[in-house]
Amino acid sequence: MKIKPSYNDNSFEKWLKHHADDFVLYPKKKIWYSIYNNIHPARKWPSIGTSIILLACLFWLGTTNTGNVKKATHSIPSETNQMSSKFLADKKFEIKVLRIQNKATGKEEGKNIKTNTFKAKSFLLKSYLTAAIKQPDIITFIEKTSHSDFIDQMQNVKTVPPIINQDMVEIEPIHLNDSTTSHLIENNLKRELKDITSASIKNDLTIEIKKEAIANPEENKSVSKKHSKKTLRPKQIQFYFTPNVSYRTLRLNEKMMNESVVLKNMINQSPSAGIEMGLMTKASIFKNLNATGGVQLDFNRYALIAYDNGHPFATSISLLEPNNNQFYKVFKSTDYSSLTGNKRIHLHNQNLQFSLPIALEYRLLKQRNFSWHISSSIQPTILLYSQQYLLSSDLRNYVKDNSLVNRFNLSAGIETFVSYEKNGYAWQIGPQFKKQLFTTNTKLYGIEEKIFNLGIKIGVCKKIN
Amino acid sequence: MTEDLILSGCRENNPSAQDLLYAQFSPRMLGVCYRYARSQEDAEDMLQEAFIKVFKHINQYRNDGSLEGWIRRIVVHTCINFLKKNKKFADTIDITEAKELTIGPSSITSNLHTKEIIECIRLLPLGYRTVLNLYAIEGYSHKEIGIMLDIGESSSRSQYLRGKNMLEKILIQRDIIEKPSVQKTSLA
Repeated sequence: MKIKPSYNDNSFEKWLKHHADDFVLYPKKKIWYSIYNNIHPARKWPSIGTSIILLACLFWLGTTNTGNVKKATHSIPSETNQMSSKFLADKKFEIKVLRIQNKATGKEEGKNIKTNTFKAKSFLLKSYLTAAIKQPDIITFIEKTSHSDFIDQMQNVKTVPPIINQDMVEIEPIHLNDSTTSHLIENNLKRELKDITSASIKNDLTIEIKKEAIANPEENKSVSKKHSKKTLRPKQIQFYFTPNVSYRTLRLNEKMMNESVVLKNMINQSPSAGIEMGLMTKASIFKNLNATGGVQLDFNRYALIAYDNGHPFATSISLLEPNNNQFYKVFKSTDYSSLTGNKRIHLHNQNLQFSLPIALEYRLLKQRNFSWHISSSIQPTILLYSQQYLLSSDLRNYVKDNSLVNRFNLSAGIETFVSYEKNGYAWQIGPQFKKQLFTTNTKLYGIEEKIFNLGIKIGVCKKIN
Repeated sequence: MTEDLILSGCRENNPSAQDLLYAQFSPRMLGVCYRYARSQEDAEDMLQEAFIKVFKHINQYRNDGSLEGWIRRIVVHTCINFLKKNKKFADTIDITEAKELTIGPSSITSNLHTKEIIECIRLLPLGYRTVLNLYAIEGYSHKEIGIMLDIGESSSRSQYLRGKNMLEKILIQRDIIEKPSVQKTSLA
């Protein structure tokens, strides 16, 4: 319905307001997730848990990746299955077909077959064609379904899902429908295949080829070496130390203070030197990917620029009352203020932690003895020693109190380094950044503190047997 | 769940209650943000920022007015702050271009008429549009608008009149309203 605006009353405004109030838009779900993450910052455990599970899965994959993925045979036509199995057996083992025995007759029918080491794609075809020339019986089962069916059957193989033989590793699909192969099949089969009657040979053929592959130790020596059980065993041991500087980020709980304050204007702090050292073992997951795990000691510290008043005075710290979610004040005594005082001094907040870092390390580049890596780690930590000066309720004083420090924490780190290998040792150096994921003090304290470190990691790796 | 239960849940920082509150008010509030914002992305950012404030300050709501009104005030102030912060008052558009501009994305779920009107409002230069939104739709006085936007009261008044005239022209061009036959006598 059109309106005729009038300037004498507020009808236009009313009309506009009416329509504007009717207007709705449905927000995307991700907006709610962002809001949720913002208002519940402590609920990061699911993502951290997921990361840990992912890391654990990688480890599990590494330890269980034997190169021999066992899996039930799929419900596929048995003949195709047989053909694939044979093919696949030979594909991976690259066996020589030394003997093909017909179990029904007990006759060794394939003894004179050419003993080539057949390659993956050509083996199946070659063995059949060779067998066709020497022993027509062997290819009975092919011809009984007619020539065109055989072609179809061969071509179908490529669509068969990977079939896992208990002795074999994973299987790639077979590609037999290229023009050369089809042409070869057609021409050779037309010329070579003759009266076919027996169908029983097919199973025996399969079994015998397989058995041959397993039974002949000479043939399998290289195979067993190649496909020996691959486990995630430590292959290197590393010692390292990281001189670093530590600093902190602070976040004030809004409920703690009514007026808005800029925290960084109220305090003066500076980074200080710390160190971490550890012992790690490395195991290879993939060619360029290593998993590392070990033990580490961290000493972190940063300086607070404060003023010593020369005598104790009363101040307070704000603590959260969990029942009503409100802050209350606990009175304390201190000598130190953050803004003014008699003598300028440096106070140090410091801690010693024991941690169990686990990391993934990826090699980006390798040239001769040099290689370049990146690595990310996650480090559960336990506090061994701590000295903590807390900001008072009015942010004007420092109070020494270690009772509020979290004993357990979690840090995440990222680093990159270059490595130089010589005489069985790999020397490594590179920058490292690490950040604490949870606040230093308990949630009862109204100021959230997260420490981060920037350091240079220097390490040496030795290969172990 | 009633509004009181949702409210008390939100005061206890209960995620389910917060989800319900958000589900109840976010569509209308996104509509509000959309009127102020330059793009839908900006509107979504405004909404996000506003609801974070709502949840963080829900304890300050004293039940002395409607909850929607209280949320709306936060949303509007957030929008204004967002525009100030991003200095987006500067963009302008000529009235002659307005006719050529097309109606925006199809995620709008209001009826077509309302959608067209809102899109017409959004065709106004940001300064005009903000004042028009605040005065005609939100009901703020020119004095309040002046304080909110750091402009003079008279400036707010003149921007409103220009914005209103421009909007009327756009609405007439788009055949949404009829041409006024009455002489302008009294202004906002």
